[in-house]
Amino acid sequence: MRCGPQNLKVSPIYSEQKVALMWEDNTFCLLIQDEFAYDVDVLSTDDMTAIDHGVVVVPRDRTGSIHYWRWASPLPLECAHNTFRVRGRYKDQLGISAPSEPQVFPKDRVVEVGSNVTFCCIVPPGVTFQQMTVSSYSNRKTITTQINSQTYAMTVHLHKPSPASGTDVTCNGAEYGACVYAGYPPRDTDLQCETRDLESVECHWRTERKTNSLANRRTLYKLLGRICWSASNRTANKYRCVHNVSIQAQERNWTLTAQNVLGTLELTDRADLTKRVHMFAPQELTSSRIHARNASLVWQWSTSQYNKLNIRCQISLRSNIHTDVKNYSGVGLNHALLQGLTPNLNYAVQVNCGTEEHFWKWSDSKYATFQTAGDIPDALDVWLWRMEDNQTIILWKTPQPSQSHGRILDYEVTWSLPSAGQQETNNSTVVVFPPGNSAAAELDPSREHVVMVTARNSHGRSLPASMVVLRRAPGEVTNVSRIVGRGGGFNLSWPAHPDSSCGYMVAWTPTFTRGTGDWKKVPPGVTHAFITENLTPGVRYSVCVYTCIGGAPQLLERREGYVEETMIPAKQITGLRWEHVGSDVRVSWTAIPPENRTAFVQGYIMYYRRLGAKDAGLNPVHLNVTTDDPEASSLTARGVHVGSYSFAVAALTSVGEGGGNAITLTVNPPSYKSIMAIAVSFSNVLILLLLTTIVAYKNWTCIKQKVYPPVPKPVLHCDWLTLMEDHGHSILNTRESHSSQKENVDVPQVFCNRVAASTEADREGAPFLPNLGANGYYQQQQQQPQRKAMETTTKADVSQSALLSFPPPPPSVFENLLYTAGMPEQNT
Amino acid sequence: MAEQDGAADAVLDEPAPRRSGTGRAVALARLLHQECGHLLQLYRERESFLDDHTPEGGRIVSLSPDTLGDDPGVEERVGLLHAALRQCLGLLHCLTLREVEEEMGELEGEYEAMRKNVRSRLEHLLLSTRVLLPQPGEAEVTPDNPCTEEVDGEMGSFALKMWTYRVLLELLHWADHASLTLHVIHTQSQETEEV
Repeated sequence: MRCGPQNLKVSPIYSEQKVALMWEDNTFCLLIQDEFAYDVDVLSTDDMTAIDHGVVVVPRDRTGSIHYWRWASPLPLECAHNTFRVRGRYKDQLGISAPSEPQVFPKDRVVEVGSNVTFCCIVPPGVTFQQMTVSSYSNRKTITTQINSQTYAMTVHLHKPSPASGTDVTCNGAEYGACVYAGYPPRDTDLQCETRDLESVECHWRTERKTNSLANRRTLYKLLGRICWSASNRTANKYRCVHNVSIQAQERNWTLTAQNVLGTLELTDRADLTKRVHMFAPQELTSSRIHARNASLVWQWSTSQYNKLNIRCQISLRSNIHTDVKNYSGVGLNHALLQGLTPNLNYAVQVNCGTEEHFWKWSDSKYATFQTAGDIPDALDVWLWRMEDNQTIILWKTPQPSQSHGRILDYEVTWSLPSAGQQETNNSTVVVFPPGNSAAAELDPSREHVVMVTARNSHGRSLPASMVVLRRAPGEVTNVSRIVGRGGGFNLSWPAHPDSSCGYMVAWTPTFTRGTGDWKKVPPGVTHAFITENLTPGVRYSVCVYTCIGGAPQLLERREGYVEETMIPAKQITGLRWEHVGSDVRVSWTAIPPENRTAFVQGYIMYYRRLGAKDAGLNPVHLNVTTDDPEASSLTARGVHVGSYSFAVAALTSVGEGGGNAITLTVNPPSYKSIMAIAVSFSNVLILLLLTTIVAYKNWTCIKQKVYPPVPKPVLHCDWLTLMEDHGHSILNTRESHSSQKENVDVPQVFCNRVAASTEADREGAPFLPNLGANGYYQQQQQQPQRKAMETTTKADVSQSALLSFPPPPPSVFENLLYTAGMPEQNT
Repeated sequence: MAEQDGAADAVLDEPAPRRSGTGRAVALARLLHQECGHLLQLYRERESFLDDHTPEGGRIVSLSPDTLGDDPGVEERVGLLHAALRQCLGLLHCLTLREVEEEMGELEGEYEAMRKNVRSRLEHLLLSTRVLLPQPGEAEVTPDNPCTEEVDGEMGSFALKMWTYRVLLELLHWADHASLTLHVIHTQSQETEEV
């Protein structure tokens, strides 16, 4: 008999002191085409004696179904352990009994966190106890105690709350076990009650999720004694309960009771709910009667109770240019008129309402959108820039959507000469199409002009924006003062002008860049402005303030400055050069061009240090000199010793030192130059002398002939000779001692030996050597070239007159004493 | 599994006239199988003591022994499959009731969301298999379970967990069986059309 039960489950019902059994037929039972039965035995676990017995008959048509059997225990189930045995029986044949599975007790106990709970596992006969485990406590060591042959116990300290599905206690694997729930008594807080429709109370409170994790043992809430069936809002731990109740204008207690198996908690909120009206959101919010600059909003209320309520509604208007909030009030308020709107703009509306008196909370929001109707564009913001070539650029700011009120089709620019008394004025008109926003005009600077600009969209043309261009005054000079930027802009203020009828204008443009700039119009009565648009750090701007008199701007003041000074880029200081003056070194430079300056120069600083000082074991001194003259172009370092130096020059500005550049130089000893000069000069002289000597030596004969030709020998009579012997000898002695002439011939020899002297004179190259004899006059006249003189002498009769007619020696260094000593003065 | 999903999605995305009834059923069955696996995984993560545990006992949903023929025809196979899936839907229906009752309300976790998803998919599959039956009008698609189990006695939370686990395993088994069976039927029907 193999037919028998499978999947036998034994379930105790403690409250009824009963045990319910459930099992299924195994597959062998399905083969039985006849009625069969199950024998159920209740045994005492201790000694396995039968306590009770039952039979479950399975009709043929119930084969394959699940079978049940209940047993009423004479004792409380906790008092005794019982074993249940189920066996199939067919035609008096008993089959095997399905072993009862291990049982774990207690089942589904609810305890407070921190409790110690003892679990027992009862294993059926023949089954060996292996282990008991508690989920999420597996890391904790537990001690299992054997109670009897089939029963084992384990105590667990449940120190943490159980998850929503409980803490599982298993025995001999995951198939058999029990659940236990560790949680807390109710710990709800923050009860607050209000009314939404003046016909019911709505209370909110906060709960701890841990408490409510007790499945089937969850907290039961009662408000005013009535159960809150759908109290939870599990996403936020905030619970609410609503009951219909008559709302009276008086204070009373609103009581909430929270109860679970571990305890009960009571919360109370005392309030007059007529002062706590939390309105519903307006319904059916729609916009109507929409115009260019106003529109109407209407809505409905979901409860008639609001019709008697003094309501305040806050309407938020949002567009892509601004957000505005308007408040409206009234009894049963259900409409609002929106004014001051911008044409052709999309608006998003948000409406929130509350009670005007005893305001409690804003209602939920209601939203709507609408678009205002279009209109002609607003008048343009126009400005003029006079360029250097008498051309005037007429500029206007491209209107924003809040100003254009539709797509701009074109701009019309007109300039004319307003001449009173003349019927015709010289008009010029030009049409500019978007995205253009400027027009150029040749305006005679000596005459006054009126410029008008209009914009056109599909709804028409805007009012004209006009400006009077005064004639330019010759020699107009304006003092320029400095302005410093702050907070990303220029903060300007100026004295009020008594004649300023149409306000002021502030215009700014880069100082060193040709072109137009930006402007801002200031209304009358206002004498300050803070400009921030189109200002770039490091760029110098010229900022001009104009007063508007009769539509014509007149310059009040002009300033220049940087919205933000930045560091001047390196190496803007150029042309560094230096000179050594005594023990000082003066370094000069070329100033930074104003257009390259990104900050005001307040002075200069020069650093210098000795190079290689460390290697030489010297102190590398770092020194500097400064000047607070922004126009300075040189600085002098004093007491600079011999050596190599690095000099660096930088401009001082409010943001630091910038534009720096450097040079390296070497300071030499002061005598060095002189010595060098002298040496060079001496060398040059020596070289010159050497060259001259060489040339003179080589060309001595020619030079002698040129410079000092030989003196011809005089023709002497014997009488003269006798005279000489008497007187001339001593004279010759006197003169010869001073003579340095080279041709000091012996007179008697000359006369007598003139031919020989001539021969001697042919020798060229004979050195020029003054040769004084012992008696003081030359002895060796043969050595001296006397050719010319001798030749002259031989050609003519020598007479006294001829002697006297010899040409006098050329005035030269070489004095010819022959002609000068004792000779009567001759007039040649 | 990813490839199956892609193939299932591809079949479902085909225009209705082109996509055959069996093709659609195959795709639905494959999706159901994937989602049942995911649901089982979520439950194991929640009840960690079930990790890798295989419960004892046979199938909860079993076919009638009279129908265990040697070579059941297509209609018979579809009919048996439809009956089994209907029992599965009944089990899932009871499981949902018991869990909601146990929690005293609907939780909104990932497991609960996937449970809803599986139920919806199973209902669609039943509609698809009904279309394949010779007399679709007579086939039921409502849950086949009065949920009267354990009327006597308290099932206990732990026993409910084990039962839930077995039901999820049952769903996974029959979703797999459905995808295999319908795939065979779909292949045979396509071969028949080509001939």
